[in-house]
Amino acid sequence: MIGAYILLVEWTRALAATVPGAALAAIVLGGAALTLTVIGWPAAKLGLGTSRWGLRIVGGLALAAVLLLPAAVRANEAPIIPASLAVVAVIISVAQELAFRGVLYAALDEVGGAPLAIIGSTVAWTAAHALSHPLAFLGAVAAAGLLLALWRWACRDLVGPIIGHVIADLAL
Amino acid sequence: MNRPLLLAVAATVYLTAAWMVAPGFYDGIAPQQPYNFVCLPPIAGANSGQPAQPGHLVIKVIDGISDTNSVFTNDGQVIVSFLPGAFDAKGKTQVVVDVKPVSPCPNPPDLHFSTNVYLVKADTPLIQTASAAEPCQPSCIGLRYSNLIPAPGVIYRAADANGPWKSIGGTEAQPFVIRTPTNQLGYFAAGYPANATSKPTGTSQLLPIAVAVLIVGVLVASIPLAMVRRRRGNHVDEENEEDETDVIPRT
Repeated sequence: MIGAYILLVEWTRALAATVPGAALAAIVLGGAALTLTVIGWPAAKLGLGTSRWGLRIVGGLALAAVLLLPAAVRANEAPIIPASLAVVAVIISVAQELAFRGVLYAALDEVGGAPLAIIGSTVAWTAAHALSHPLAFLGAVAAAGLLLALWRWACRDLVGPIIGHVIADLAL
Repeated sequence: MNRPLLLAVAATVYLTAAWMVAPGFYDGIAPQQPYNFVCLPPIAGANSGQPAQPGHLVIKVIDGISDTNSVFTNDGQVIVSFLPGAFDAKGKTQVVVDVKPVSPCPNPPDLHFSTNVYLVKADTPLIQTASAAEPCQPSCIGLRYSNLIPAPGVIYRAADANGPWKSIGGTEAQPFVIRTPTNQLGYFAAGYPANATSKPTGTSQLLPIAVAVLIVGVLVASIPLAMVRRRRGNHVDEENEEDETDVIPRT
């Protein structure tokens, strides 16, 4: 149910973003709808515990470095996000992490353990981007999702993926 | 299995997969198709898309008043909207509007164009107003631009492809689309002054520096964190770290 809801929100957001003048509203409302999924979940279950902030933050910076490295090496080809989109980039990055690596991961972990949580959240993450991304990008999207999900599993942490995702989206 | 090793493998897989496509994450805030350039900028590379497309529209005229309508280029890179009565169409039954990408590309020395130059023409003149006013009186034009190059600041208009070009303003109506009202048709392009002191800067210089800073920061910060972990490892039983908030990758 949670997975279906998240996919429905993401696909609706992707389709709504194609309507002239509706893109920003779609991102903000879509982000809010994704964030609603955290209701009822303890922070610790989502990987949002309050211990070891240093490691979580450094981990997030390391994830951001990995996510941005291919673009940094080819900086002349890197896209440029207008500064006016910085806020919505942050909104959607945080919301996606809460939904995919937070709630969906935790729900799948309860049902089938870590393997199902990692694979399931990665598949859902990739499927969610199917309407908003060119087909050729989905391999990289899936690989990014797998990396973030593995971090979530290995470190039981969602702060790192949030930081990494936000920085990556702000830069690109 | 060794968790740090799995993370390293996943990072390698990501780097390989990301290297095989153009950079960018496109979380719903970037154009979903490449910009169709008439004259390819060097950075476009393999992302050049298809040839830029023209647009055509026939607007009905009823009792001398032209209907409201919008003309699009077939690739959606230009939209020109007309309010009711936008044209001086007395005695006519229709107004024909055409949008064509201009080739060769005009290259005024004092401007940088971020978009193609488009010629928007109609067989009937727009009504004469002192100046165009928001929101779209009598018409407005929106130009999509590429995410590969610096964003334009304004839309420029000219009666001739060789200029002179006049700024008619522009606001970002939606991501990667700049829009402004206009009371005249002619040649349009979005861009910014060549000598602009605050012209948009690309990621070409900033991104490598930012990533280098991230890497150095991670390495530097890891040293005290590793020392803390080692010290803790000497005093704390591993069993005590098996809680939900443990963030140390274990082997």
